[in-house]
Amino acid sequence: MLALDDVSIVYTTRSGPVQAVSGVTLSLPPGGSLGLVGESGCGKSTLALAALALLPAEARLAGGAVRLDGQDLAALPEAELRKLRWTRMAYVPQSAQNALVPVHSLRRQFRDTAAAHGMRSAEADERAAALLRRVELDAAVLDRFPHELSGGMRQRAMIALALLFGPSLLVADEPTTGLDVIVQRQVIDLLRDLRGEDGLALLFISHDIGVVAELCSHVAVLYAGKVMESGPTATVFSEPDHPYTMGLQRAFPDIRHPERSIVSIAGHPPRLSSPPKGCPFAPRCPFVQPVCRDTTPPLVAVSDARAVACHFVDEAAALRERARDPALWDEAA
Amino acid sequence: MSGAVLVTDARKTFVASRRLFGGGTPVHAVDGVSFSIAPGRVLGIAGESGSGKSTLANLLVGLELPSGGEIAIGGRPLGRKPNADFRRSVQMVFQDPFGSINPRFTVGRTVEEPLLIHGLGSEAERHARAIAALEEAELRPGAAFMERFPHELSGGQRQRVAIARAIVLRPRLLVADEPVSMLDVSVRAGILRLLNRLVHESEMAMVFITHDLSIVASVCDELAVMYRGRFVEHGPVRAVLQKPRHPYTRALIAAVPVPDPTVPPTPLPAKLMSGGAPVAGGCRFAPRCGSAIAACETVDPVLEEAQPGHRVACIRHREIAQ
Amino acid sequence: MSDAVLASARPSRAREAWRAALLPFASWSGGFAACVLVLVVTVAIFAPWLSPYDPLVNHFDAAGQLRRLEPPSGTHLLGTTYYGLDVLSQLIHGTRIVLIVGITCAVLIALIGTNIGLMAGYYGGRIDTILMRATDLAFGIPFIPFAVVLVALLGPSLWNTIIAISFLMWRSTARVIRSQVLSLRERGFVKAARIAGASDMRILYVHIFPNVLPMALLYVAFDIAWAVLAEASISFLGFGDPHQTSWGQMLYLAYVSGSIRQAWWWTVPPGAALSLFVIAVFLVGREYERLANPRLR
Repeated sequence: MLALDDVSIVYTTRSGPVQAVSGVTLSLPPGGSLGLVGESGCGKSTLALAALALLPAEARLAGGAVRLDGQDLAALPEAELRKLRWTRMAYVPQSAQNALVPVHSLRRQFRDTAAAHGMRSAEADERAAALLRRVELDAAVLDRFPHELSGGMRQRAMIALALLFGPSLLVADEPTTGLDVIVQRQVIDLLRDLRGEDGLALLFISHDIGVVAELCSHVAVLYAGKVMESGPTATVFSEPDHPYTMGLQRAFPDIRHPERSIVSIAGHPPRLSSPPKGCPFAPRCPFVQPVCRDTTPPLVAVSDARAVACHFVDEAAALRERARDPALWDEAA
Repeated sequence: MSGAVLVTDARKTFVASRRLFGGGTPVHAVDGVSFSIAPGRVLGIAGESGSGKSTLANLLVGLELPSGGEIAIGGRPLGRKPNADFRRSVQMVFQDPFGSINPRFTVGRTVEEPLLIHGLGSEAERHARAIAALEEAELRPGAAFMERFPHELSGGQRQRVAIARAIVLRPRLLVADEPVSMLDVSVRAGILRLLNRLVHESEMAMVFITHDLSIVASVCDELAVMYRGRFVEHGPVRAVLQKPRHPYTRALIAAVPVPDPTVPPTPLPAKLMSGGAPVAGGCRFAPRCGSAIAACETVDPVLEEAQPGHRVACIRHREIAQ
Repeated sequence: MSDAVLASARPSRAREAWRAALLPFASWSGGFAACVLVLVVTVAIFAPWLSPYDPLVNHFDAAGQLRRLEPPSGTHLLGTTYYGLDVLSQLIHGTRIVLIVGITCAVLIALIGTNIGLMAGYYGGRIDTILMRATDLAFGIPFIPFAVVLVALLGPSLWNTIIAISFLMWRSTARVIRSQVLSLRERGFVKAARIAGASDMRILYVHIFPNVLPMALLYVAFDIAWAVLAEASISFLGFGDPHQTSWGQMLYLAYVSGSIRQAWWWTVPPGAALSLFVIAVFLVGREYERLANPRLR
């Protein structure tokens, strides 16, 4: 249903163009769930906005196409897009708990949103009550104001509002960042229940591989605006093929194994205004070889579902073994 | 000496709203917390927002004055007002690496500032001490960073500058308030390891405040879990994480996402989300506790030793540990 | 392990200052405005040498008649006034008043406004309430009647005009600086200074002040324009210093002598110069606003 085909996005800044996303191809079937993982500046939020045709003015689609059910979003006039957003695709932004209008009751916000797309107030009230129950909130909160609700309640109300028109795509950008763990768990559980319901597809952006592992059936690991590795979450995280995924996984603490030490990946992500030649991860990769600094490895399919952009994908099993040793990452660092 | 840090029954009460007549309802942000930390040891304090962990941190560094109890650092009690001696003995590292260093100061100026405030050393000595502190914070060569401005540094580097500023006075206690939660995943381990090394190599103690239980194991020796102003569990970090005895600790641990999609998440008790306000005189966690019994509404549990060095405030902890 | 040292070399302070000075030239309008300001300053400095005559000397023709309201000619490039004074010389000497009033007022306003803003924002509570009520009061007083009353009480002089202007116009600077301090106060570096034991004065003037300085300087720039306009208004109403030649004074005299309709050469030059100067200050200020206000970047 959502297909990103060789998408490239360029930001125009005062210091010149910045290639935030280059040649990203992803697809999300109806009812599917795809997690975009990466660190700050990897282009994951930009991709989320591109999926909604909501790129800011200084960014432009420099190549490729974003298609929703086969329809090229770039070809649609703004009026058509506005109709699509919310009815067919919905967005839960970062710090969504602050995205509600502070001076209006929830009922008013549901009605206003409904009216913008030609839904009557009575119907909006009815839908709102059902949706709030769906996100495990009491329908009585409809007459409350945002400041009367806790952060977790606001976040769930925001999700209910996003689902008002029964969209087929929900884009959630770090919806649990800044929430307490117990509230975060509640939001994750809710999203996991919702995904797939009535064919709702979920595009989930996060820096937290733990949250993605719990929520998404598929994952794409982004680095410097490129897909490093993609595939089913279960196999990508149990057998990562790309050194960056391996490092990310080793950098993440696992509460079940307090004895395991976590690692850091040396260096910094490249400047996207002047990207290095070759593989973008090469300067930080502990397995780097001369070829990595010269040629950019293409994203190649290694099995039906998995794709990896690494010259040494054939040796992935051996690299995984070496990556288990924290000393490897320390030496590089 | 019983330790670098000795906190006895610390309390902080805020009066919620200032009205013309009478005060609002008092909020007991910190409600009787006691602990000690030996030099070279790290105590992690975990809890949700509103647990009082940030207020406790502010009490330790003298940003807030306690409403009751006693705080002593390196044997020096915090009297009615922190004096210069107390100020020198405790420093803090903050969560936000972008807000915590002055954007108009060079790195050198930032690190020298605590020395200047206390009038320590000549200009050359301050310069040398600042360079040494930067190198201890693994910004090498330190001299190369002295003339830089914060906007030229990455988030991880800024946090290292903040750490250098905190250690330049050689404090007895370092309070780290969520020092890695705003950093990229790939640089967190380096900062945690740096803090760990600094503490263990020196006579400094550290309090590590966090909401994320998954990182405490890599930096803390002991862990205290805070709920509504009190410690509900306190013990060696591995013991608390692997054999949690308080239902709240168990819930916090179960709520942490596990980076392994093959493991189904542990369900949480429904009461945890829906529970209301605690009953006066009862356990403050009882309304949200899946294991609460009638007695929990009438007994306010105190910390008691479940294992040597591992204390729990729950009347059912023995049954729960089974 | 150590984070790699960033490769880019830092430009020196002198180069940064030079780049800041050239900033207005990034846009067409900013460059033009900067040229206007440079011209005004140059003319003010060299006024005695540039002006063809003493601005306060009456000119007589060969027959001993006052050269009253003569249109522009070879001897008087911008004509003469009703009182037989040379308009061009008056215009040139007027730039000095513009600079004195603009700069003195801006400095006074910045001093008062910035300090009140710093104190109110940092201390909060009762101090904030008192200072902000004083600010509200300053906002509530209408400027022209206040200035007229003050000058009437103290007597018309340039300094009294400057005092009247500065006494009221610190209000917007104070508010803006206060709101900046309110957010800076909560930042980690202020807390760190407090934890380390820095005094309130040190925190205010060493830690916080450099961070509000760009905004304060921006307001100084805009205050220059406001102050010059205010001086012109007071002079136009006849409460200016009779011994000084200001552009507002020229307009006032043209008005009271009843020649404002016929002697365009007497009214257009000061009016146009005033407008040009004020617009130029705003245009240049706007270019610098981008430096001070990250949201406009």
